[in-house]
Amino acid sequence: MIPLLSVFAAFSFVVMMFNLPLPGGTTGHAVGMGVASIVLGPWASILAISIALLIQAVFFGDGGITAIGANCFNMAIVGSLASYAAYRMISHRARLGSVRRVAGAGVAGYLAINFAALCAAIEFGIQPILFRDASGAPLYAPYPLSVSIPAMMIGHLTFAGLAEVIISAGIIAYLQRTDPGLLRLTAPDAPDVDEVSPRPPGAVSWPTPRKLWLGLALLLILTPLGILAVGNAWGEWSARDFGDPQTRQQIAAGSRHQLPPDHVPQGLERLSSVWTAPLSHYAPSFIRSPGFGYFVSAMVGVGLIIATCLLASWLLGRMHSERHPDREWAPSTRRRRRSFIEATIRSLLEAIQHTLFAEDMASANGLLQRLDPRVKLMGMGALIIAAITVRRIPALAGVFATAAVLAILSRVPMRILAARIWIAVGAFTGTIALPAVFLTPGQVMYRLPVLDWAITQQGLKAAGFLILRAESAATLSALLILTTLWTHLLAGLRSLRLPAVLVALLGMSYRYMFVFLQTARDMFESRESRLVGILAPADRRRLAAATAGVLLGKSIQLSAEVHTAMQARGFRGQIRLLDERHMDRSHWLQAAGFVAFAAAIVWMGR
Amino acid sequence: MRECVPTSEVAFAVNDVSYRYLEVPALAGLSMRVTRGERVALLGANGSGKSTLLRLLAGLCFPEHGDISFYGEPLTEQRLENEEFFYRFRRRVGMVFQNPDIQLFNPSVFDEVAFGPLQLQWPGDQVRRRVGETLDLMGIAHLRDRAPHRLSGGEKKRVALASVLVLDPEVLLLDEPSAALDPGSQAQIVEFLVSWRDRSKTVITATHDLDTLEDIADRCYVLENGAVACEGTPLAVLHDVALLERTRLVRPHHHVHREGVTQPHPHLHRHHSD
Repeated sequence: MIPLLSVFAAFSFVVMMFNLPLPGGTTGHAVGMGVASIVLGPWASILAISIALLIQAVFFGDGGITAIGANCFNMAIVGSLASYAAYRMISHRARLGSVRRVAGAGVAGYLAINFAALCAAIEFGIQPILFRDASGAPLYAPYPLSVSIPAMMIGHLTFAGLAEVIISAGIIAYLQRTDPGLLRLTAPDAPDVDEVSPRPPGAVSWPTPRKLWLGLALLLILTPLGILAVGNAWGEWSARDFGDPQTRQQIAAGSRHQLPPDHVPQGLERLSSVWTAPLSHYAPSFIRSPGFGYFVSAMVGVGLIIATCLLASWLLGRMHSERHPDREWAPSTRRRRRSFIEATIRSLLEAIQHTLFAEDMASANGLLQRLDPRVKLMGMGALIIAAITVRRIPALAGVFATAAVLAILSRVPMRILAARIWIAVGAFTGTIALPAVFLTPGQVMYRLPVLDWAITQQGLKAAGFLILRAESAATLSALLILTTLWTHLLAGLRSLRLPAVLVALLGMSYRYMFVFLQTARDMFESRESRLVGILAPADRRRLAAATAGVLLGKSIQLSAEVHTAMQARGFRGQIRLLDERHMDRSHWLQAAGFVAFAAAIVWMGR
Repeated sequence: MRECVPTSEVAFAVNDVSYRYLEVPALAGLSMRVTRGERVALLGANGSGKSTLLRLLAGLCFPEHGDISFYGEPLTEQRLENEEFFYRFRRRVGMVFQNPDIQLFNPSVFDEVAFGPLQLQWPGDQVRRRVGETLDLMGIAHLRDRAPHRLSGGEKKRVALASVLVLDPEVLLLDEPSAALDPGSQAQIVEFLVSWRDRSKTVITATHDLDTLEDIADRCYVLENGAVACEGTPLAVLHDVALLERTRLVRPHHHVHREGVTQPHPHLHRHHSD
């Protein structure tokens, strides 16, 4: 339960970083409470979303420390309960694999985020009535309900709501296919999926958050897309924003063209100095590139969430073991539970084995596999640059087609590319690009009936462009990784004049990460095989902590011994490498061919 | 008899050596001599000091008391600081560790085997040729591009052995070469060591596997509590049941006789599987 909880908390945190541009110049984001409450149940979901909000507010200054209560109420509590109720009603007695559950999840996500937005709008709207200073000026939020409700709801009923629908329905549909057992947590009496073969009795049957972690990693990589949307979320203004003329215009545009008050609301100014977040606005001061800073912030956030969940599980476990010393904590699930650390190490190990060590495709006999890794590195690099720089659709389509042809010639199944890359990248860039369809000014092609928003030709083009660009770049990098053996990639890096020590270090850490995780798993398994019965959670955690200590000791010993072994074979502190593969003429020709091709595309698409 | 051997023929002379790991004594006043071309086994239970002795002989750690010399030259930390001596010594003495996971730290089998020669700054062509020959010799040429951690236990051991043999050392130090291997892989390693006999190499093997003792050693030292308890030919040692029991190399053998009385039974069952 706890590892799952932390996956969803981390997921929610990352999803909230994907800001969508909304009409009126504000931004909004999905929350992920819909899917969290469907899988975890409402109570655990409230906890998960609250943890994500807490980390956001405390460490990244997003949402604000004083608004944490309101945010938790809106998004965590109202959102989770609304979503759970809707999902249960719609999917009542449906089979685990039924379409009704997917539809229910979509509706649940949509309702959840809109209820949460409505609550927030009401809270904003009643503030000027409740809190005024002596002169009658609002102390905090300046706009009345008549402004706040439309401002919040238009964005959330449309784009943010849609994003939430896609996330909820998509993840539930995915889980139905890959791990329907996860859906059973909130639907214990649902009829089973038809075609699922019963697991053999001895098989491992712990929840597999592995794939979810992988998905989360993909999201993390995509987070820089979240800063494409400039502007603030409506209502999330800082005291400084009220003084900046440009920001004032933006605020007015999102608030039925009513300018905010000239003076910074006093209460807001006072409270803004209560807390300064260390990584304010997801932009660590020590990182220059905003995209990379955003990505690093996302990583830090996820780490903090895992730590918080660990702490929470420890506290909860302690409370419960004091009250019921002989009872297992956690709601009744039929699975065997393992401690958080253990489950995490296991799922990490599996994920690493699956991603890094899947060498079957790399050793297949295809075009890219036969290429020298350095040629491949340069060639794919040139094509990726082409994908990023071209400005015409046909040229970009050409890059994408090239990637597809390379995939076919390298015997990389389209099925794998589609499942691992295209759908995922398409869904996420699609959600982000969608607003551009409406927001880009230009020739109107169609008007939405009720909202009176115009779809412009330019908008469609811009959205299609963004999606195709992301797809092409992702496909090319996937091809590079899928078709190259790790050892060859290292050799390639080495001959591209990376320092020998760095390459050796990369190689050794890759290798010892494996040994280390294997040791950890062996230790857990041997311990488990010696246990009879179920341990109290406090004891499990104590054991896990002790194991971690032993593991640390082992790793120190391991590094000392490896150093001895290196010494025994003549190591004197300097790594020497065999420059095995020289780039000969044919290699340079191949590389030049790639670069020329990419350059031609760039030229045609300029 | 061995006193007649000239110093130049003594590969290792260990004289009253003591060594402690963080206050825990591992070796206490141990002395031994190994001459050129000899195959010596170090026998002893776990913790008797075999591995420590091998590390001392390999110049990876140094005694607190006593001294070790290699072909008459003292083997000390200061001496190994000298680059010329360091490379000469490493070239002549190879050590195979008990745990191949420690020894295999390179991304591919080829890189693993090439590591030693590269550290000794052999020219590139020679490295490639020697590595190829060694992989063929050990029958692992097909594993060349594989990652060592993806190999089976027996394959790992052969790669570890290859990574040392590639330097064609005169002295080979082996720490439990056949431990934790299946009988097939064990036999391969032992067969290889037997086939190596003709090359007048010095081989020092730490083991507690009595089954293969006669195949891999001409002489053995039995270690107990960090000192030599006995020294002799494998045959002589294997017949000294009292010594083997005391040093926990065989367990006191009990079985039920016809009268139904369980008795300690002083004999050695060596060829159970035969």
